[in-house]
Amino acid sequence: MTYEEFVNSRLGALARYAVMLTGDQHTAQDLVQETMVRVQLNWRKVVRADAPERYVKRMMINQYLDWRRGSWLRRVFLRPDADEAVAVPVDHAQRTADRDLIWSVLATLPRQQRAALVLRYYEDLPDGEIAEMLGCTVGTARGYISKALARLRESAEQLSLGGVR
Amino acid sequence: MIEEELLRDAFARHEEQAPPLDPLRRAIDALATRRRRRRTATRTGAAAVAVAIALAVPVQLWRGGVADYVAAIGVESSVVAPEGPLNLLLLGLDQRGDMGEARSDTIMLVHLPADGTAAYLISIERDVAVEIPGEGRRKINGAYTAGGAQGARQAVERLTGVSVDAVAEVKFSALREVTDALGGLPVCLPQRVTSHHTGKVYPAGCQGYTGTQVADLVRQRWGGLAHGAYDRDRIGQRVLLGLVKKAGDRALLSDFAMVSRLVSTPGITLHTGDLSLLGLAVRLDRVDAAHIVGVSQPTFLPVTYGGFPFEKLDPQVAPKLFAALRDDTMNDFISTHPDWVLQE
Repeated sequence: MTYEEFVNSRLGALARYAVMLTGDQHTAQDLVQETMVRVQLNWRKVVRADAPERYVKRMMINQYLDWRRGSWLRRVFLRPDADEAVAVPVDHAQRTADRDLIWSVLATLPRQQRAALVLRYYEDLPDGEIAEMLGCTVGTARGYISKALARLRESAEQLSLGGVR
Repeated sequence: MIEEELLRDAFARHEEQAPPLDPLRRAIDALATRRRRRRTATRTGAAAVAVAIALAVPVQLWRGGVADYVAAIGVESSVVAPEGPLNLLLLGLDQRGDMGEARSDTIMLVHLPADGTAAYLISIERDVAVEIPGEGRRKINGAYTAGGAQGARQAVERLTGVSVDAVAEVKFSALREVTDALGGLPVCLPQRVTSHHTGKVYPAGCQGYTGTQVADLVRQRWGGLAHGAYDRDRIGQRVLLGLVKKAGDRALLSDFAMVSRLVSTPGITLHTGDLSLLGLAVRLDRVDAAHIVGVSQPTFLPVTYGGFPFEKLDPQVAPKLFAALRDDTMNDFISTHPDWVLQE
C-alpha cells in the first residue's frame, strides 16, 4: 500500500474520527493535519505496522492526549502561518437542545475519558484494544469509561431539570 | 443504557462536521514538504555528492597552480556562475585491480535547480539495466568498465534523458584519505552494520569514523541491510553529509595545511566539460546543507533478463522523476512522491 492509496481510502474516516475526539471541525482539521504530516514523513515505518490504519489512529490519539501537555497546542495554535479558514457548515442539530446536550457535556470530559468513549461507542472496540490504544491497562480504560458515563448521566440529570430530556 | 444510545447517536450525527478533505489534503502536503526540508539537514544522509565535488573543485584548482587559485579566490565576486539548472554526475569507484576492472558502484545525479539553495541527490541503483551501444543490455555500473567516465555519462543520459553538465569520479581510496585529512567524519547510522569485508561491526547511532572505517562502511551491501545496494547508497549519502558538515566546520578553503593534504589525494577526477571550475564552485557554494534532498526508489524490483539478475526502475514513477529533472520541477516531484525521499 502506498501513502497515496492510504490517504485516498482512509482520510475521510480519519477526519471523522478526529471530530469525535476533538468535538469541533477546526481542531479536528489541525489534529488530522499534524498526524498525517508525521504519517507521510514516516510512511515506511507506518506501512510496516500490522494494521496501518490502527497505527495511525493510535498516533492521532497520542497527539490528542499530548495536546493537554501543551506541546501540540503551542505548535498548532501559535504557529506563524495560519491555514486558510474552512467554512463551518451550519449544524442544524445544534438547534436541538436535547441533541446538543451530550455533545456539550462530552466537551467537558478529561481527554482520556473522551477518547475511551470514542473508542468504545464510535469505533466499537473491545476493552482490551481500547486499553492498547490509550497505552493503559484494561482496568484503567474501564475506569475512564465508567467515570465518563457517570459524568454524562449526572450532567444530563442536572440539565434536564429544566424539562429537556 | 440511555447514555450509551445517546452517545452513539451524538457521534453519528456529528460525522458531518468532519473537515472537507481536499483542503485538508493540500494542507498536509504543504506542511509535510516544509518539514521535510527542515529535516533533511539533520536526518538524511543526502549530501553525498555535492560535497565530493565541492572537495574535488579546490583540489583541481590547486593542481592548476597556487597563484591562480589564490588570485581566483580573491576575485570570486567577478566569477560568473553558470545559470539554469545543473546536473552533475558522481561516480563512486570500487577499485578492483586497474582502471579496466573498475566499476562505478555508486551512481548519483546531483541536480541543482535554477533558483534557490536546494540540491537533489538522485541515487541510481547500480544493477539497473541499460542498453549500451555495441554491448547490448548491461547493468549500468558496467558502463564505466566499458567506456570510462564518458561511457557512464552517456549511459545515464540515455537512461534519464537528462543532460549531464559535469562528472566527478571518486575512488573509495580517495574517500579514505580525504576523511583522514579532515580528521575523521561524523556519520550517523540508522541500524547496526556488520562489514562483509572485514567483519567489523559499526553500531547504530552517530560517531566519528576514521578513513579506513569510512572506506569499509561505504562498500557494505549485505549483512543486516535489507535492501542491498539501495541501503549502500544511503550509507554513502550519510558519509557525504558528514563530509559536508566537516568541510564547513573546518573552513576548508582557508586551511592551507589541509588543502595541501587534499591536493595530494589521488583518485578524485573532475570532468567539467564547458563549465568553468570556479563558476561551478560558486554555484555549489550557494547550496544550503539544510536544503539537500536525497531521492531514491523506495522499493526493490528485481528482474531477470536472459538468466541474469537486474534491477528494474519503477515504470510509473521513474519517468516522472526524470521528467522533473529535465523540467527543473523537482520540488513538485517530491511533494507528490514523498516515499521517494530519503527519510532517515
